[in-house]
Amino acid sequence: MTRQEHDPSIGLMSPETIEGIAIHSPLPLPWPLPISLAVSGLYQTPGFPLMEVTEGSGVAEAFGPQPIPGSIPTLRPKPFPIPIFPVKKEELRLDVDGRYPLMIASGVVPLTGMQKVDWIAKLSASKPYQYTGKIWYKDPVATLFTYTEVLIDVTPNIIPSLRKAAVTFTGGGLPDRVRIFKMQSPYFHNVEFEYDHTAGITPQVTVATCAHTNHPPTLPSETLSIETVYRRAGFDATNTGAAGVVPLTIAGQNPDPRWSDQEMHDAMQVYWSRFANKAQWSMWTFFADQHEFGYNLGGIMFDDIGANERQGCAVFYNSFIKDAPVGDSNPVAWAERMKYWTAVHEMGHCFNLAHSWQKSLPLSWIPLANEPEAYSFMNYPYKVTGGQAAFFGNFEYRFSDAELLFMRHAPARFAEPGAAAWFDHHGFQEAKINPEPKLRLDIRLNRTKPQFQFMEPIVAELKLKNVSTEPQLIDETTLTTLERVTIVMKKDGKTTRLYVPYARHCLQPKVKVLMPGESLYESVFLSAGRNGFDLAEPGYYLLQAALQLEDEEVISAPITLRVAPPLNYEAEYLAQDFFSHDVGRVLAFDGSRVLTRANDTLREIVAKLGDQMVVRHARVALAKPLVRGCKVLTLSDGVQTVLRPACQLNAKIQMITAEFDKSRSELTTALASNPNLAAETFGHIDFKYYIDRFTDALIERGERKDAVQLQDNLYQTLSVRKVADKVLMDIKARRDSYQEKKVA
Amino acid sequence: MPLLHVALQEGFSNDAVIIQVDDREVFNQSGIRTRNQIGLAKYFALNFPDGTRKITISVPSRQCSKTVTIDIRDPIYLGVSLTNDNRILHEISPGPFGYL
Repeated sequence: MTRQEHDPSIGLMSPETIEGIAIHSPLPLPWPLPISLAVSGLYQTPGFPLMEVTEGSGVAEAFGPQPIPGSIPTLRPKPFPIPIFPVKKEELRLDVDGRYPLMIASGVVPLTGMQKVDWIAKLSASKPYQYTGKIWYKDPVATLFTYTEVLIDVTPNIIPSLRKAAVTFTGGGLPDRVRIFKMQSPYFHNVEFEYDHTAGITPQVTVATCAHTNHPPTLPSETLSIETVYRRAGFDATNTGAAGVVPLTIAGQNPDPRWSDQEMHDAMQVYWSRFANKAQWSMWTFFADQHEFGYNLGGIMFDDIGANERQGCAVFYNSFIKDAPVGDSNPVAWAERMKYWTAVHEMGHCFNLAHSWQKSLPLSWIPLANEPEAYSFMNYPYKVTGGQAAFFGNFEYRFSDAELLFMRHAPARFAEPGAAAWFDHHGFQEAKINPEPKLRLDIRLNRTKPQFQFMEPIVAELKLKNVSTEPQLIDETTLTTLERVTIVMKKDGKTTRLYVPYARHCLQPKVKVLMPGESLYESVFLSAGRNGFDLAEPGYYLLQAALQLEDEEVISAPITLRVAPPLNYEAEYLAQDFFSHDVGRVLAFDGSRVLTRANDTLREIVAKLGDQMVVRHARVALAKPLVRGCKVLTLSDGVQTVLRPACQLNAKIQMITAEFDKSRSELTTALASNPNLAAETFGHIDFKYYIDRFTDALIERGERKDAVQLQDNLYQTLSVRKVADKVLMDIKARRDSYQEKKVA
Repeated sequence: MPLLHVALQEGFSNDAVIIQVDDREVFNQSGIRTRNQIGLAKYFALNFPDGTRKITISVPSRQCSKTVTIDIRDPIYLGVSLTNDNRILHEISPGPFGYL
């Protein structure tokens, strides 16, 4: 089918020409039209100012000529202040007719500039075009949006864009709230697909549904495209039209027809015309000969790599999906159907759909039952009772209702490719939070105003406090390893990002008794990690941390921080080099002797950005590796394109000597000039750590006076900043030990 | 000597798995995790002389184990899965398992 045939602006459409819109009454249609028009689809508010609700009737005057059936409250535009954030459109997804209607409404309500709530209600029709139902799902669960029921009055119109829905939210102890929505599309989301393949492979992107004799007797005989299947699932699915051939040598010099996940990920980045490191309703499907796993892997959603997962999948034609069971009456049609089925199945994984028998596994978005006998694209045909013959004898080329519910109505970030990580929120599991927690987790910033200069590295402090009246046993390394700690960051208007540090420490657990009121502390360098610079762009960010213990989760209160815009053009210009993986690593690990390009960038920042905060961090990163001599692995054969053992490459471990004088000057400037500012930008924990390492080095060189002076300054600075007495005592003890120490 | 193909399939989440054949340890690995998109965590094959073998699968991290007896004369495929309530399920097949 062509795109024109699906254009909702056509208005009156027959069931043969539209997926997602159907007409209630049987054809042929009489004239005039005593029919009920399908009203399912996506609706939005027009972005009007907030409405004040008063009791009464009649709503039409404010929203055009179409009367809303039934009596609903009158709306009057309310005078509103100039919003800090732009007024965002509210969404409604109405799912009451068309293909596979679920009798569900869902929506998104923007609450403030950074918060929104997703809701879902189960509906029943109270009269034509009027639906009522209870709201059974909200995300987040705890929200000021406490409404419990909805009443939806729809104004049908032969022209889809003139269809309207008035939604009245009631219950929850709040005054009734009415919103008027206009239809945007008969589909719930837009999505686009792109198919690439290797030479010699012809992607099976359509199927003749009755080409094989084994099919449900009532199955319509048609040629079905992958896009059509997804349109019937509620997506306005299109093809980018940018299909192409991926050469076998993409991943290296080895023209092996078998593909690894990493190679396919590389190919996706190069050949997918829509590739971007962001969530988008778009995905890449790759058709190839074989996976490196071999013949027994028919397809895979390979993209559980990197920050934006679920953007790509692959189907392998030299695998078991090409071979019909022995004795099958039409092995060619069987293989074509299986190849087509596999493509739709793998693309289903890109929408975060699990297999039919995995629905009840942890992390599902709502509690779900397994569907091991489902005749769905997400089941394995040979897993159902009666095997693949029974499966295809009942298979209607569709997803199950539970899968449709997820794709159409779950919060978009759970299903949108590149948003939630694979299998995360294939459902959403509520955290097991103890109503009387023994421990409290805080994520905090050692500064009065949570504002950071542009490019200023962001170091937060994690604090885990025993808030019970009993001593608690806790692994002392809990906050250091971050193994059980999850930190999420969300920029205003963007999707949530998971903080993934460059390295995780593997430490032997050390049980500590945490007395009532006692705390553990750790600093976390949050600016950059394996996801890149998560906190780079100017704007507001919401941060939250969670600690997974054996029997409960401890979740911090969210904090907000702001990254200010660049102070000058120079900063903006240097940012292009600064926000790189190498610079991120150098800052995270406090310097490098080998990442020379990153060091050059940091030198330029020191030279050009004067007293901006980032300069202090750059000085520490440049100076700290110079304090001591260090070992460096050198590969004499230059840049390596193929991974080989170092011993085969004439590798040598070289000792590089310390450059203490150079280091001393930089560290003194970064740490000792205006120490209060230094404590603020490095955070108390890191500030003390840097001073301790620096003064230890001074003592080793016999420079006791300077070391003592720096520790005195540290004590003075942190006591003014009201740091815990235990820390101040530790500083004093170190300072006194320097006094007593015999120096070389 | 025929091959016993072992596939650790569903339900593994950073678990340690020990497999013994006739009381001899042939596999001991921690960090076994199912890739849910294909329903497979680990696959390996072992050679044995013809005969009936007692195979014990233990998952200490879930405090469960199971012993199955398999007559190995031709290549044979053993699929092992863990349930949510920490039970071990197994499936024996004369042909390989397919994954999608």
